[in-house]
Amino acid sequence: MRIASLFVAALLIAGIGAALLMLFTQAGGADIAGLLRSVYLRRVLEFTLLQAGLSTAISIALGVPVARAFAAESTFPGRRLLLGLMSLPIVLPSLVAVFGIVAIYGQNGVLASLLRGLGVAARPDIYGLGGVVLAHVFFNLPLAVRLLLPGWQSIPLETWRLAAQLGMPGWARFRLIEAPMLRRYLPQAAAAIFLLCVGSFAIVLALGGGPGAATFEVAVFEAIRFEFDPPRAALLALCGLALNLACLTLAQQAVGEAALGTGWRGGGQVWPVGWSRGRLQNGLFLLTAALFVLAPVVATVTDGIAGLIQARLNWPALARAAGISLALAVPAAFAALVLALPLVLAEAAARARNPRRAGWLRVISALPIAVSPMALGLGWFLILRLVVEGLPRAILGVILLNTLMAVPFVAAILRPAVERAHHRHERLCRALGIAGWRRWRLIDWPVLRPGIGMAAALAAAMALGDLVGIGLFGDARLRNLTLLLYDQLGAYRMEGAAATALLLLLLVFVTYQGIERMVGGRAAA
Amino acid sequence: MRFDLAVELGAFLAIIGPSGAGKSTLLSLIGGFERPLGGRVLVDGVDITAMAPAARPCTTLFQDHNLFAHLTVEKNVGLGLDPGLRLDAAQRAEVAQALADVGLTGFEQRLPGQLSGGERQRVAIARCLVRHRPILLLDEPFAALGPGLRREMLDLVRALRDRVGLTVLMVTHDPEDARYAADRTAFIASGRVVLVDATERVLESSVPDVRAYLGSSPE
Repeated sequence: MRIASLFVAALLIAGIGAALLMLFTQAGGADIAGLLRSVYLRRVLEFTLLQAGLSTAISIALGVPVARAFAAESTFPGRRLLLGLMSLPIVLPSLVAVFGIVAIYGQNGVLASLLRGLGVAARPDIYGLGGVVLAHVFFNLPLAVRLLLPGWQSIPLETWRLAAQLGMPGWARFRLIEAPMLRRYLPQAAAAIFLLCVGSFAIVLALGGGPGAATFEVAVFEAIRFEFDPPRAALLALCGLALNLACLTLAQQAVGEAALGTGWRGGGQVWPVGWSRGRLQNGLFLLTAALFVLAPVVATVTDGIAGLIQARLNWPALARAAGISLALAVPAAFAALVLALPLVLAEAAARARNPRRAGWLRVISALPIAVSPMALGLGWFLILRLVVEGLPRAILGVILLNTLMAVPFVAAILRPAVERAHHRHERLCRALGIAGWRRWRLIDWPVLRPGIGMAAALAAAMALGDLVGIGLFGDARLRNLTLLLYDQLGAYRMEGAAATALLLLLLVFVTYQGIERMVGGRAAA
Repeated sequence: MRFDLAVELGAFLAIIGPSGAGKSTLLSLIGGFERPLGGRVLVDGVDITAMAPAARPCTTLFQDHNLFAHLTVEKNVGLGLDPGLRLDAAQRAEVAQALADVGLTGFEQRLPGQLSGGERQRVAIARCLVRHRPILLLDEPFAALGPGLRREMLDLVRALRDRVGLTVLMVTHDPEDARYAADRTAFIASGRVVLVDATERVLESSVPDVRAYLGSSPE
């Protein structure tokens, strides 16, 4: 396992290093001073920080009462379902969410027609800062809930009993019990959300665009795809990378696990029953959050069904796009698994004897997050341009990028299970002399199988929804469902987009379930 | 579960029995942390069944998490006087006196993290003292301490009880604790009070449940 992990580590470092090297080489040919002093760069930076700041502030401000309501209402029918709903955005492709959000909040959306029905002439503009922030809150309010709920769950039952015994009024409970907990949990949650919003691509591309509403990721994409100016794109990518790293240093270890919220336990009694004050407010918060997350998804499904029935659909093209989606995403998911598994296994093995090595392996497995997807993608786009041509280049590029991007998430999902298994079995295996392939087959694989299934399923779902890789490398010959949806959204062909969005949603759902069941075995189902 | 138990004022009663029998539930019902489906809890003839925990004439010492880790010892004890923590000079003096009573003079400004397990429970006992409730409920607060330290804590509780005149109900999983500190003992099994008597008599009773729990035949 040690050799395999060293090999994988070298591969990852080489894969990231090569991309960065390419960016630096290319950026040398750009008008560096000119771009750095340009109004354009300043506006991109301003918009990136402004939308990320707003999105984070709103997600947290709403996430706190919702997480609190989840903690306080520890037993009500449908709680598990509602909690599951908060995990939905993890696997929901950004563009599908964009479609759903436009369908609800757009000019001709459900909300506008409701308002018109009430006699209010509303023509909400979903494009620009407002729409971008709204979509980011849609994704990150649930994330805030997932990251903050463990905070409330970390408060022991005795503490609430103590507060009741001492007769603490509500504000004192908040000040003495909840505020100290939030001081520990809020910064991490806010940092993770801020980072995700700074690096946002698909949402900003679909709902923003132009110098006034672009993140660095979008600016890079526009520079390479619309203007085909590699030096400028490379320089913008490096600027974005610098910003990403600056935010990351502030956030430190908040990414990785935090982005998925693996510290998260479902259910469990956390608050003494019948003591929570303000049950009405709690109910309202939970209901609002559920509606907020569910409405765009429901709209996607209903509009999608209508689109599938009404529109004159080009079924062969749709089937082909779906096939391409699968053919690109599934190999990437398994490649990511093959890369991440040795790293995590070696990390667990090194944890006790060589903590520094374990630390390094952990950092390496998270490297692709530190380097933004677009910078990595552009680097490899420029490299592959020199070595391969045509369709093979596009296929290789998409799979490569999606593999690299999935490694940190796969590692983060596998890590807790691997460490637990290692802790439990290591001494016994050594005592019995079970090692190597035998140990993998008899001990590790059966124990880790559900986790591996889940990790592979998540990686596939993420790859299916990815727009960075297919946006950079895809074209008319390699058009998957995501790219098709992007084109349709861009052309405001909403009926067709509805059908594609629903198909993509179904494909993600079926693929996730299929992989989790096949790889994860019965235990996962 | 269905408990029927009467405790005399000023008694030191141990509650023993197999795990899952309902010892802690019984204490929670008295402390007000759980509500009974039926029946009443009376203290000195007053029905406290519907009272909030803070209003009840009892104070509970938990096994763990009795202190707020980010508050000093003084503030942790002070919470027993004012849950909003606005303490005047007289109250601070009372806190200092309570700390002296449990043998922690000069510990006011320390944080719980700097204390040993025994010291932390002493701080919690000091808070029980400043609350001036006639009934003290101990939910295995000394279970994590070694035998020597445990006796020391039991001695402390006994001494305080004698001085202030407390009624003490103590859940324990160690019959030796009961033998050491409690005049009377209640044996609980499967959600029922099986036996209440002088501690020695309970420990030597030939009731099958008790024998099965203690795992020995009476001498």
